[in-house]
Amino acid sequence: MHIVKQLMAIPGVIAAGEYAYRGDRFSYQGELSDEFARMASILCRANTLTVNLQSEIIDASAENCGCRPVQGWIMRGAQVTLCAVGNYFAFIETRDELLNDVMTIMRAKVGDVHEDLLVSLYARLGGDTNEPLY
Amino acid sequence: MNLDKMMEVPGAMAAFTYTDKGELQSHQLREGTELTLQVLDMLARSCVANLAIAGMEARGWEALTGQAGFQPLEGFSLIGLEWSVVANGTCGMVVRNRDADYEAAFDAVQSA
Amino acid sequence: MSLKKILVLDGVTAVCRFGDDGGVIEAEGLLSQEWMDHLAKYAQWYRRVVSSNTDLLSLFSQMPGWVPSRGWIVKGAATTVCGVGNVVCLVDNAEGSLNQLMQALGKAAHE
Repeated sequence: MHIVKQLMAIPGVIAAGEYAYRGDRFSYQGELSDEFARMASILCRANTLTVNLQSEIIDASAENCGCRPVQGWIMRGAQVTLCAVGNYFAFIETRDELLNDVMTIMRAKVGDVHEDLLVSLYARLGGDTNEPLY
Repeated sequence: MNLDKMMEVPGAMAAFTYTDKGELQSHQLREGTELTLQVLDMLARSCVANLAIAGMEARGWEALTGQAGFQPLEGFSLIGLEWSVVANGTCGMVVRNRDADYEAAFDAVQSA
Repeated sequence: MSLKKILVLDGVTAVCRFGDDGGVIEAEGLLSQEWMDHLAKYAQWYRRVVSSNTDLLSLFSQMPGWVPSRGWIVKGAATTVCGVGNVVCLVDNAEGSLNQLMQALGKAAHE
């Protein structure tokens, strides 16, 4: 089963999808409008780039310390949590026994993310990169 | 800040606290871990940066979409290849991905 | 503008043009090859992260003028590193003029 469908089948998952380089290519399912999904995509890209930069810096000071390549990140809010693994994201409710299930499925289904994640994100670059994002 | 409590979380390899500028204040390392003080020092700074950006995103997202839910922010986690960092406020911890219990880790940094 | 013209500006100790993969295209200055490689790589990362952050600012502020991002400056106690487009340079704070330098980097980046 496709990972997004599988995530959406879990009670408490609000929306899930894939994001790309600039937020102009994305796909999703669930309770998000197109505009909100585009915003989520931009936000996911920002966090993914940031954590990748940090992992390079940490790795430069302690080689093979286990943080590279970055697999993803979690942003936990009071009622909503946003998780990303590779170029997949999921909005889920913040409640007991959901985050671990979602992360287990995302890690297992997406598989280990390799160093080429950003290359592949960049390869999907399309449209006008100078377009205003508002 | 209760480092002992954070170290009780399944898979915990390190627990630490830092100032709001990201300077490492206190830490505990699991015996035998390959993590070093130097790595924790870097991680503390990355925790501050990530929580600040996540806070800005939470605020911006809620203002623009009109949807509540992210604020107050309860933490941010960076998931590395072998371990993850979970942080909130001025506390952070490193958990081994193999046995990671993210919920317990977020709860621990919440109440620590 | 050639990188040599940037290197002769007051306070500049190293300048480098890098590719989309973070590799050095050309470099001038006092850094070793190894450190020039590091500088190029981090400059490319910084460029990406700053571009992401300006995307967020653009999105959340609903204001024009943020994107596409042009550059960044990190000012340290004695040294500053700044990048515009795909050119990055190191400058000694005591001797350099940041305004003059950013202008020159802007010209070099658009070549």
